[in-house]
Amino acid sequence: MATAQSVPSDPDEAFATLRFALSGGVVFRDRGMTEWSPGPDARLTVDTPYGKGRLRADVAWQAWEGQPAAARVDADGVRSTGDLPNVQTLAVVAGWGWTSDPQSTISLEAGWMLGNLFMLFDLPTGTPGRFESEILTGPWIRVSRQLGPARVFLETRAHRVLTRPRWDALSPSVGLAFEMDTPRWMKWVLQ
Amino acid sequence: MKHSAHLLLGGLLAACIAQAGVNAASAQDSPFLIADSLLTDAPHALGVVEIRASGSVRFSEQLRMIPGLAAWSQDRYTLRLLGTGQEGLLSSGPTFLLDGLAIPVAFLDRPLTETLPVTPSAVTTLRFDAGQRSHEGARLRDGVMHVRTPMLQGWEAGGALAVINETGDPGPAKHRDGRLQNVDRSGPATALHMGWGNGRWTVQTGLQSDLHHLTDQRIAGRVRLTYAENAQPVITQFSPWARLRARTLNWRLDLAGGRAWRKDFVYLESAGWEWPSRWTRDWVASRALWKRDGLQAGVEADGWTMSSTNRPSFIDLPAPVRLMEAQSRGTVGWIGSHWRLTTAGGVRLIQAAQLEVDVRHMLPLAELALSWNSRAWEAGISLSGIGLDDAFPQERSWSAAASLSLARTGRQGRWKVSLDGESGHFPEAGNLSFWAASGVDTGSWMTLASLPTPLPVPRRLQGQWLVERAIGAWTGWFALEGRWADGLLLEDRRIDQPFGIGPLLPSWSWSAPHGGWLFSRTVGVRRVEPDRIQWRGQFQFQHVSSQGDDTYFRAATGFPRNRVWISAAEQRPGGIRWFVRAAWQGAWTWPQYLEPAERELPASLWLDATVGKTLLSGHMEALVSLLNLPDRPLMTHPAGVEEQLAIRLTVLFQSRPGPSR
Repeated sequence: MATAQSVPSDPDEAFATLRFALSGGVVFRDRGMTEWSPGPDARLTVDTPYGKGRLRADVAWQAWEGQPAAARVDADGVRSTGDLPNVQTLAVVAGWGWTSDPQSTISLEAGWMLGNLFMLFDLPTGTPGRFESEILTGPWIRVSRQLGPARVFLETRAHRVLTRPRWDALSPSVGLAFEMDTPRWMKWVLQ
Repeated sequence: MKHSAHLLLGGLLAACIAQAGVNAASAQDSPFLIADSLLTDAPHALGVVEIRASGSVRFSEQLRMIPGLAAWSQDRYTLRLLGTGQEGLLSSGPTFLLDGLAIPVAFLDRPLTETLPVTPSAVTTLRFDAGQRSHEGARLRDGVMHVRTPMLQGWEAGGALAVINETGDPGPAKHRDGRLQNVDRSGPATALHMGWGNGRWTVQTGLQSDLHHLTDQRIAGRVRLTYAENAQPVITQFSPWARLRARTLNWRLDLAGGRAWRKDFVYLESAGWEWPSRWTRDWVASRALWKRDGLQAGVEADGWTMSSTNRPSFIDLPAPVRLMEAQSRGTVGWIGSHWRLTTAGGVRLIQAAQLEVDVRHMLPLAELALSWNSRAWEAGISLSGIGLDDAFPQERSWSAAASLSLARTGRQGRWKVSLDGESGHFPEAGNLSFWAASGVDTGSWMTLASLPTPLPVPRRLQGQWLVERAIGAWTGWFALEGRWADGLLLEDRRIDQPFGIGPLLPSWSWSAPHGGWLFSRTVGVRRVEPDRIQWRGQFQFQHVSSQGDDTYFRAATGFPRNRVWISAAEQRPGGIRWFVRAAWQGAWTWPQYLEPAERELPASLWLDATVGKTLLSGHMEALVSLLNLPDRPLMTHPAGVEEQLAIRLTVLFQSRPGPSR
């Protein structure tokens, strides 16, 4: 008598698994936003196997504190008269990265991401320029190690926000990732 | 392989010959019998893989991707199509044939492509046939744009949505430097359609809407001198449309119509700044063809009206204008085993009305086309003429055009030679010269001088030679094109101010006669095999001879820059699509602007790339496009925008999934 058996997923099959990662990071170095002081960021990343690497989607929130006027002096030595508004940023990005053997204890990943950076400035509702949105892109590299049911990882991303003047940042982060089989309905959507 | 190449080239040749006769194309059924894949195998074409992978939602963006087609936009929105660049600023733009039906889109110096009744992502084939000649009832056009869509089977709905952001916004820097301003951004642009068909009948309706911000510093500086509303200068468009098609063995029926509402900022070279205006445009195009026992008969009719009103302005704008053009033709053809003779007669009504001005002209049309073919040879000759009554103050009361073509297809290649000639003026309601002849007042927006009388009769002669050879999966080709003109009526424009931000108000007058020579040599390769990467590449080298005619040189040579074009596209297993295009144009002097405005145009490079993925089992598709990757200011025109890297996010959806492999 034949019995129904569940077939284990091939971890290399496209969209076979979903990996959720929570991490926190800091801006190690930035250019173009020097008048704002960055706070720590919080990130949620979801990735899944695709091709010889993984597709990923990522959301990161961060708060930036604007300098008071007294602290700002322009190139001509003129002290600024207006405080800069604080800003909260939400980066929504997607990308693809190559990964070394994901089943090994230690693995290495590297890839490129592209997305949008939404900015909400601490200004009265209706003020022009209170809300901004710009394209963000850049590479990332991640080293991870299996630790029980989770993987702990260290990741560094270098992103550029496509403004003029340019806004670049180098941002390391550390976090934990958990992997699960992709629900069938979501696999259908992705495929 | 050789046999398939032979069939491929033969089919393509048949398509070319079908267009060689001036007006024979609309009366013949050949365009309906040629597979899309054969239409795509041409020097200036895009197939379904390239079209879907480009992620375009606006028709203008799709047309800009056709290899070798010269196009430029003063504001990155309103597109001018300039053929293969041979006519410079004089180009009248191509005729648009949507599944064989001519759609009226010409207005001033541009085609209003956003009113075409089709969703760009639903198009299966786009092909541009170069060469200036008379089309569809003695309308002089620079080439033909074939747009092909499938007949429907059952219910179908689909559409596309895109947002386009130009990079280069100051972002947070705006809060620390109040002088910084946002730059251009566009969208959402949407194109929706739904319909039903049973293979013989297709009914469709659709909607196109669009929005484009004129925040580029160069344009905004001009617009703010005319536009008196305390609001962002924005171009918007809303265009519903409907189509009906029927196909049987013996007859065919096409009917299409629509309306467009457009808030516009019309920039015209002769004005030098924008006209803040609102336009309402109604249009219809129809055709019925019947064929039996060697006899073919048909009736065609098309028409459009446009009415303008003005937006708040600091200057005296043109009083509301109403333009109208309507045309009907009857065709009768006799079809033998190797030959076809078609005759046509009709009438065109053109009208310009403004305040007390109401000018109407009824112009008779007559056409004759004869074609002959054998297994290897094709030949065609056609004649067309239009009576002018007093529509145009020229020395003759009629204008005429003639075309000759001869082609041969062999086992590994083919060649085609064609010769086209026109004599006289071909008035249309959207032409600026017709506005001048009718006495339309353009206010302080532009000085529109009266036409000199009597006008000399323009004469034009164009020759084309195309030779192609298939080597395995690749096809190599060489094209030689030459044009000669004499007796032309030109705008003698001079701008002697430094250009930059602000209006470029020219001093100009009509001037005639003028003439000169233009030569173009193009060499190209392509590989358009199914299920493989679609490759296209070409190099075009141009030459101008004005024979000392300075006005001709300045008016006609804005765009004959040497050009290189390479594109590749693929649909990969798993639903991944990608499209990459690289285009280079050589350095040139912009000739319309005298010192100190004269400017050397540097060599320009464009790089566009799109990648996309199907979702929801092919019902949906998401694409990301990087447009103009070099991201550096390109001074393509003194009045043009600073071109920057733009990123387009596109979502396509369809009720019947296409092949996602």
